[in-house]
Amino acid sequence: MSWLVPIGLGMLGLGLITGLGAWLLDIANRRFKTESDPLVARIDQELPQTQCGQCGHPGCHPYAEAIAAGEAINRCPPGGQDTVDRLAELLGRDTLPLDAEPETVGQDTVAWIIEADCIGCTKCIQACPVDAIVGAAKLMHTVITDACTGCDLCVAPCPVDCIEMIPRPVPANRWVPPKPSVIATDRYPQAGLAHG
Amino acid sequence: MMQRLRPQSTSAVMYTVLIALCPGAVVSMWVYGMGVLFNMLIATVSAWGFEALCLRLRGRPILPRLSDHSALLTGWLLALSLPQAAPWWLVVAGVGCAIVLGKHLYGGLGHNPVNPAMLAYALLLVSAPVSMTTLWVDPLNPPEITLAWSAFLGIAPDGYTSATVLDLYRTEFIGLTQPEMQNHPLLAQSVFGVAAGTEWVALAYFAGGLGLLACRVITWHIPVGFLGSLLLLSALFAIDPDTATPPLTHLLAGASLFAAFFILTDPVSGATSPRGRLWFAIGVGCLTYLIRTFGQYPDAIAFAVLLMNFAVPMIDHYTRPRIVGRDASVRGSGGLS
Amino acid sequence: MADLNIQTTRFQLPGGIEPEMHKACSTETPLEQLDTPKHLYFPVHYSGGGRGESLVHVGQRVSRGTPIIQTDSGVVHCASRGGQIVCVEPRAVLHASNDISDTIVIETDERLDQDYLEPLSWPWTREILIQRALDAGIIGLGGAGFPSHQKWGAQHTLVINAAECEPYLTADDLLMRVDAHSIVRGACLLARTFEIQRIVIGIEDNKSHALDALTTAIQSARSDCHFEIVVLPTRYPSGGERQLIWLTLGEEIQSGQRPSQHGILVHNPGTLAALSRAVDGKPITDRIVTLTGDQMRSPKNVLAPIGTPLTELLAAGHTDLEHISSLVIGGPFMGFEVMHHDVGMTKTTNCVLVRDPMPLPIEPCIRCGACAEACPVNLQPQLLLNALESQALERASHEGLADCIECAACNVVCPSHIPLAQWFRHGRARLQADTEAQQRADAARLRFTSRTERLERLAKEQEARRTARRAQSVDALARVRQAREGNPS
Repeated sequence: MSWLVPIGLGMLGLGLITGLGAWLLDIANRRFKTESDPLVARIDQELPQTQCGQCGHPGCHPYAEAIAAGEAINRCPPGGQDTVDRLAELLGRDTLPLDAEPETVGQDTVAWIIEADCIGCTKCIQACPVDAIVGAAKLMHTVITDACTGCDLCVAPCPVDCIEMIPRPVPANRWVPPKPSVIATDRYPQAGLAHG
Repeated sequence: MMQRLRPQSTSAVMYTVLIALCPGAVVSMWVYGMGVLFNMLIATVSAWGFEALCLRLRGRPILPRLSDHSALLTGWLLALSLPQAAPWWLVVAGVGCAIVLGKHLYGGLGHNPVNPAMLAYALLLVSAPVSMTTLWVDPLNPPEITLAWSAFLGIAPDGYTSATVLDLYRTEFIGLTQPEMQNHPLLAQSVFGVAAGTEWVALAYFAGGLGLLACRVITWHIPVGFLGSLLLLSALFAIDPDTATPPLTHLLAGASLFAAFFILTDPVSGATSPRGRLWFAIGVGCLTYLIRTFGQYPDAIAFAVLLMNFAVPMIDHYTRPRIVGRDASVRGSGGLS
Repeated sequence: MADLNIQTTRFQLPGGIEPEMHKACSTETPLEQLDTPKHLYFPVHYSGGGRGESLVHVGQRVSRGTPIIQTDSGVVHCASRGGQIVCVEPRAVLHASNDISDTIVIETDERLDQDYLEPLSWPWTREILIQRALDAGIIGLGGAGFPSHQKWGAQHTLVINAAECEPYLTADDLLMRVDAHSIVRGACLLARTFEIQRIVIGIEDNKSHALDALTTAIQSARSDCHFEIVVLPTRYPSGGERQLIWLTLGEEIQSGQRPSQHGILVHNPGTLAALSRAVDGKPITDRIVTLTGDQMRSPKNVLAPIGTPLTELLAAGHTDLEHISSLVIGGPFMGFEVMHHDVGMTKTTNCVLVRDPMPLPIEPCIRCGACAEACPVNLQPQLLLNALESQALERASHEGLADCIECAACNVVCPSHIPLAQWFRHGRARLQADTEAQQRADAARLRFTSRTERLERLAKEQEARRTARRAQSVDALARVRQAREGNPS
């Protein structure tokens, strides 16, 4: 059995060297760890900041905290499936189908006050999560379109139903031209030119 | 109006390269016999066949892709790289490797990361080393057409093949002095002192390459970078003429000129900016010298090209020209103005 | 007499192409004044200068020069001919998006009444000239339609972009031939108002008639302005703003900055001529349009009222809709194809190009690098394309997508006929939209956070006040009790 001795010693030595090295690397890793953004802030960064509360939380940041604590990542209709996928990527979780009615997804709208009907009750001002409505009691209110996130939280409190959600006005130079229809691979031949 | 000269479509580019290959191919046939022609014929047929098969299997339109001549070019390049007395099955297997493994497995034209012809050459060299190293025709004794045909069928007797000049320097010339080397019949009957016949083939490829430059299918960067670095390295180490392969042999023997104008210039697998192409070619030149000097293969270009192909993303990353309006060091996202 | 110095450029454009120019056909015939069409169309939102609002109502009668659209940049668009407003209805607009906008429709009549502004007389202040530019509806007539007054400020150099480098276009060429005096006068009064020391005209060497006209106009101008004319080789895209500044001044504008931040003002000759007329009280009502293309029976330039329908313009070129295969507004490289033809031309409509586009089959990119050679800003379009095809907007942005000037020189040289410029236009617009969405999200986050903090603070203050009040009342009660216990009566 004497042949076992060198093998045993060798294994022991290998174990010692590997163990010691791994221990040192571990210490170094902890010692020089770079502090990344707190997880909640990074989740919050991915959320669309509509502050609409459709996820059941009073704003995007509270939902980010809830996600960090383990809540499902698919409860943000304004963000759409893209946001769910990005959150899954960020958190290393499996992606989920978006939990929302299809017609509520991905609409870019803003609130619009029909000024003739406004009675100046300030209820919408109190409801707006981003202070995007200006006005005073008994005076007409109006929406700061640039600051409006389209959360539609102001629509329900209005006693005279003078708030409408309209598509966000897009200036002409913000139009996104379509992708070229034929993609430059050999996948899609152009009709009629196959023998050209 | 320089743009007018440049070929206006991908198939025209390929077509121009095919035409530019012709002088070299014809001189090859004259020097090495009709085996070259047989190789090119079977390569043509099998290139079309494999390309059509792959397109069919991938559900792509066959005729428009086949008529861009890229498969044909790959086949010809491989046929002209193989030993002149190669049997038919070697050529067919090589073309199959090039088209199937080298090109279509990566997504077809424009998507292959390495040069398909060189990939096939390297695969053949490691899997059929005997055929790839011993079937080179002796340019002083080219076979008759019937002999070439039986070689093509793989049933030829010995006697018409010989070691290539680059092999001679690695094997037979060791220990000889330079005057003794000059007595070797291959060198003695040569005009440039390189290798009888071989040098004319190389010069014919050079002529074709000049044509490509004139048509602006290729730029000067690759030939100059490759030939320049190869010559420079071989000249530096040629201080002792008894042990080193002379620079002129590096240039005119083997596939140097052929590769400089036709192999390295494959745009798909090569670097894409002018500066990148220069570095790519210099890399291939240095590797070619190293492998020729220290390796055991008949020629080194295939491995050098493949190795540099893998370095292309990095070369592309570091050799992009300075964008107008930006500092050379700064790249990356700026806002739209 | 103004001082003049003519020289050839000392600088060279990186990249660029030399396409066939096709310019001669439309310059052979003299400029023609188009008859007033029956209907004129003025889209409220896409007339240039941003989103607009109608200033008129249906049934109102307007004269030539009556303000009809107020835009959010302050620019006012005026009626180009007199007539009745018959309706304001949603119609297609002349824009690459082929979008729909509320459009004012004027039915013209025979009366030739004018509703012009008061002529200005020197000296005027900068503010007065800016107000005049707004009232006269002056936007960049070169193609982008950027409100001109927004560029004016502390500048030392005015560059006049007379390169007109795109094939087929000859509108600026014709304008310089027939009305060089207005261009020179506009440049002089702009220079005088804003104390601009240097006026440089960049013009390609294929416009010798225009060059002669400019020279004569400058030499006969009663002004002490100093003009320099820099003659450029005919090479596309030497008329790009940054490219022109490089070719004329040898200055490179940093990525992400505007020339005006460097003290350089770039204007199209048409804009300066319009400014000169605006000072006399005339708002922009007409512009020169090139009618050209292989399918235009009689190619020419016409002076057409703004709002003229495209069908009328085609009729002026003796061409009808059945005989054309594609209608492009602008040049073959930067222009856009229109789907609707019963649309009014706008102030930026410089060319109506009808021709058979002859689309070639698109093949895979073989990384030949021809596009990189043609790119005037040294991008690597083949790498950009790769990034955009794989939806990697961030990588594309890293490759310099933001620096692309969308000149489409790469399209022309691509042997695989890949529509690179269309990819880049799409990618740039996406990048812009994403950036803006991110900025909006960041702003919303800030507003939400500060509102949450404010509400918390208010709640806390309220709580503190309540506690203080409670403490006060407890205190008072205690004092009262003490007083009672202290002196029992």
